[in-house]
Amino acid sequence: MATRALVAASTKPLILSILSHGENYGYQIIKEVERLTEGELQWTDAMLYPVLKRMEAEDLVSSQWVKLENGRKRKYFQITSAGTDLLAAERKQWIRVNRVFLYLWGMDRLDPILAK
Amino acid sequence: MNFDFKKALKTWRTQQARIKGVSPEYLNELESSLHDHYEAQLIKGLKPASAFALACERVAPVGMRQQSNSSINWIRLLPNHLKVGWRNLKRRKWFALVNFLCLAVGTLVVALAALYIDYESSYDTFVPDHERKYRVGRKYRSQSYSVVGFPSYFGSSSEEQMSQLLAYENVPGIIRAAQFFEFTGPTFVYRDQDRFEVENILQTNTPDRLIDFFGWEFLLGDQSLFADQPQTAILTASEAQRLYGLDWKDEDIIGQSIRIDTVAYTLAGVLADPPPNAHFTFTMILHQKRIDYWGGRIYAELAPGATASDVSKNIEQNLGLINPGLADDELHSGTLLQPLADIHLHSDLLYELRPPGDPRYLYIIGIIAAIILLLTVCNYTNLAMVMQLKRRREIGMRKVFGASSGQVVGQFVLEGLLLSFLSVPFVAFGLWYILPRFNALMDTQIMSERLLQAQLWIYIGLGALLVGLLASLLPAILLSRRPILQLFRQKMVPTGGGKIGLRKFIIGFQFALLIGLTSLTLFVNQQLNYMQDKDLGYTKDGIMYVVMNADSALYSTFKAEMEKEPEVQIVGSNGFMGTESYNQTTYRLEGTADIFDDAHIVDMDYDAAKALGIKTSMDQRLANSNDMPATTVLINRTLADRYQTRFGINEADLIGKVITQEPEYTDPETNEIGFPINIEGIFEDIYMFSLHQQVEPMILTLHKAPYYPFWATIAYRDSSPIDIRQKAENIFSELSTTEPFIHRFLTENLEELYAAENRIARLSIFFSLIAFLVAALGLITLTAYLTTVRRKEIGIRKILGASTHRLLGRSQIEYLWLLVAGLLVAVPLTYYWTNRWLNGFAYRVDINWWVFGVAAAITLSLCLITVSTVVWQTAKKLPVDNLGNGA
Repeated sequence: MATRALVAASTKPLILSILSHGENYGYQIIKEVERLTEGELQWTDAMLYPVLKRMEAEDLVSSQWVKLENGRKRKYFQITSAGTDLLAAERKQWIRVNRVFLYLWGMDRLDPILAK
Repeated sequence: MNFDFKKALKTWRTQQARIKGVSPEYLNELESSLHDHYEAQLIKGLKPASAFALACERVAPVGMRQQSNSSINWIRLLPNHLKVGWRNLKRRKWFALVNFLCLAVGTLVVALAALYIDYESSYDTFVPDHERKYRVGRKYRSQSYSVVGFPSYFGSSSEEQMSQLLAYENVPGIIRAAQFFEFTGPTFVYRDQDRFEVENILQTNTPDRLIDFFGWEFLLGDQSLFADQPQTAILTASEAQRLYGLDWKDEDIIGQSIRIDTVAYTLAGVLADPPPNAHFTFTMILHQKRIDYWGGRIYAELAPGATASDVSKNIEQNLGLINPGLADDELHSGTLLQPLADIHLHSDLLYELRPPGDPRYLYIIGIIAAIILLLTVCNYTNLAMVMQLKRRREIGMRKVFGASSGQVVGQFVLEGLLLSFLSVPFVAFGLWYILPRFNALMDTQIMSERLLQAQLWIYIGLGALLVGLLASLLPAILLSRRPILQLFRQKMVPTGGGKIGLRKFIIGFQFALLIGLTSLTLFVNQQLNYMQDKDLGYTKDGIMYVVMNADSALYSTFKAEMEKEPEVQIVGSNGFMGTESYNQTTYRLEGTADIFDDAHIVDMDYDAAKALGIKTSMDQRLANSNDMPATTVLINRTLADRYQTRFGINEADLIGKVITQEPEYTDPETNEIGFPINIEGIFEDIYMFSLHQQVEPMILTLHKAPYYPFWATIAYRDSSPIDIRQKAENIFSELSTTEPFIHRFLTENLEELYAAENRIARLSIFFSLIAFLVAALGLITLTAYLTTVRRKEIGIRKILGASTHRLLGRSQIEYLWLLVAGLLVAVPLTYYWTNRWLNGFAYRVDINWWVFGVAAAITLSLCLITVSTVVWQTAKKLPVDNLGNGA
């Protein structure tokens, strides 16, 4: 299980990363995180939407309601250019930290690309 | 049944919308997600209802869900909160113990004060329908009387006595009237050959009405047995026990005979002891055709809806039927109807059956108890705040894990309540132990049975709840409101800096309370000392009175025998000082037109005046009473001064002038107006009554022969009161076998006049000591705690060269300012209240400002001693000890 601190620190980069692959909506983002972490991270809607709202306020994502074929509405989120910039910075940091850990734990040979 | 998704969704939305802080946009987002979850679960093959339940579970706002069920959570977490609370109490057991003690003492004092105030203000409320029941009083001249005179006073026949009562009963608005008179002094009652001294005997000629009016309960015999025939008697249970022994119930006493003097009475019943908080008490009721007195105490029950003022008017309109003589008497100035429950605290009528209470003393006790309660609460608040500051990390962690402010407040309030409820058994034990002593001190009979009444414990429980809430709410709210980050920062424990924090405010407030209480106690005692030391115009010590029942022969022999005793200086008749006020008379000075109605007539013989050492303008002549005329009339200084200021007649000119007493009266045979007397001298004011009353004009007649010698006044020297009493009793018993020996010492009389004041003074001293103890404990603990927390600071200061002396000074200067602030608050409030109390005395001390200084000095010394001791303990240690871990 990921620690509370790790969950808190990784939420924003994870959302940005998922959105960098294309627009998405709440349920799908949660499912995507669950799939990618093999169930390690289990987000809830109640936790996700306030984060998305904050990110929207920080101009990292934008959103719009889309009417579906069955008549109901769904809110789609897109990454903004500021979001893309932040993601790039975050990516650098996470890779650097990861590299240090790999090196320290003697695992750098297992992942030579990241270890560079 | 098919699952209706739309309906379920609508219900879900309504529920969510109720939750505080859920915006419509957020709700739309959640709803959209709910749809997605629902559809996904359907695809997985779940039934619609299950799919919806699962979707809801995933979507519902977690934090919000907690909040909506917070009361359930709170109950679920209660054992946990209690455990944490208990653990915290144990961890700081000394501080908790101090808090516990203070809370317990505070609650105990408040419970005691509440019981006392309840007792005093519930007089006569046990009487059924007491709201409609009144005592009839009369206004005559400028005075009001609680005894209503019979039409021909002493000379009234039983028919006259009854016709007056029946006339009252016929007044519109009155449905029942009853009358009795009470003889308080001891009387010999004979049961066979045994003789008992019985006090407080009621005589009535309206037995049925009286018992119905007061609703007394018969334990033995019955009302008709008592009421049907005169010359019957009923006893109270305790008197029956005294007369017939412990097993009086098995003695078959009904129908037995008792005798008073030569008159026999048949015992018709035994009543349960009447409640102690009644405006009169009795041991025996005699049913007679005629009451042996000049008037009776008359009680009236009004018809439902009738008002006292209307009925008083009706009585005045029917006065001709009630008492024809009074209707034409210009001195009669109205009828009073006193509500039964008001008699004890709000009566200023003459000839009360028991010394009435004073509501001001109830206020004083209430205020002192409130002060102690506030001190207790302040102590708790202050200590709790400082101690809980140390728990800021715990609060921070609670908040991080999602505790709301309300939950944090709840935890701390629960701890306060835990402590205050733990004090309830202590309070119960304390009350059980103190109540008999309190009764003895305050002359009350608050019964221990009250301790078994559920109502009292509900009040104490509510009191504990209130104290716990008051004490813990403030620190709890203050701490729970701090942002989480601030809770994790250091330096939250207050330092000696200059900011006026809540803690300082509370200490300042405590100082104000202590100064106020101390100065109030000092003022009360000053006034009491003043009253005890004041020159009353007569000798207070070495005077004993013995009842002679106006028997001149008995008196003369008694006087002769007593004066043979070497320690007896002189024996006179009458001159009973230190008594309750009595009726005044009208008078007019020769050559003036004004009639005054405020003179007390005093009669005594020359020897009594000598025994009392009353100073007169004719002392030299009075020294040899054998050469004096049969009577000599003197007026007091107050009256002489009045004539001087009003009419410009000086003292010398007053001598020889005639004063006519009762000038409204004309003798039908001689046509002489009033009762003229010649002024032969002036005497210095004597304070016969309580110093609550201003000395009023007095006309003193000194007699050569004993004049209605009700009292023998014995002046003695070089003897103990016990010896002189024994000698007097021996002589009296030889001379009289029919009357009991009744004696009084003058000092006792005076003490009794100020019994209420003395009791309040003693109580206020006790309460003040408790207040000091509570405040001192609180201050010691607070300083000890703060000093422990600031050990490092003290260590560093010492390393940097501060001396112990300077460290002490630094810690004390902070308190000095608080004391000044406390003084500024306390002085005006105490001044106001003390002045109001002192205004109730005609003769009073001035409010000296130095008393406040003394009170402040006492408070300051208490503070400095406690603070210095604690700081000194820390400061004398090596700095390295203070700088170690664990501060």
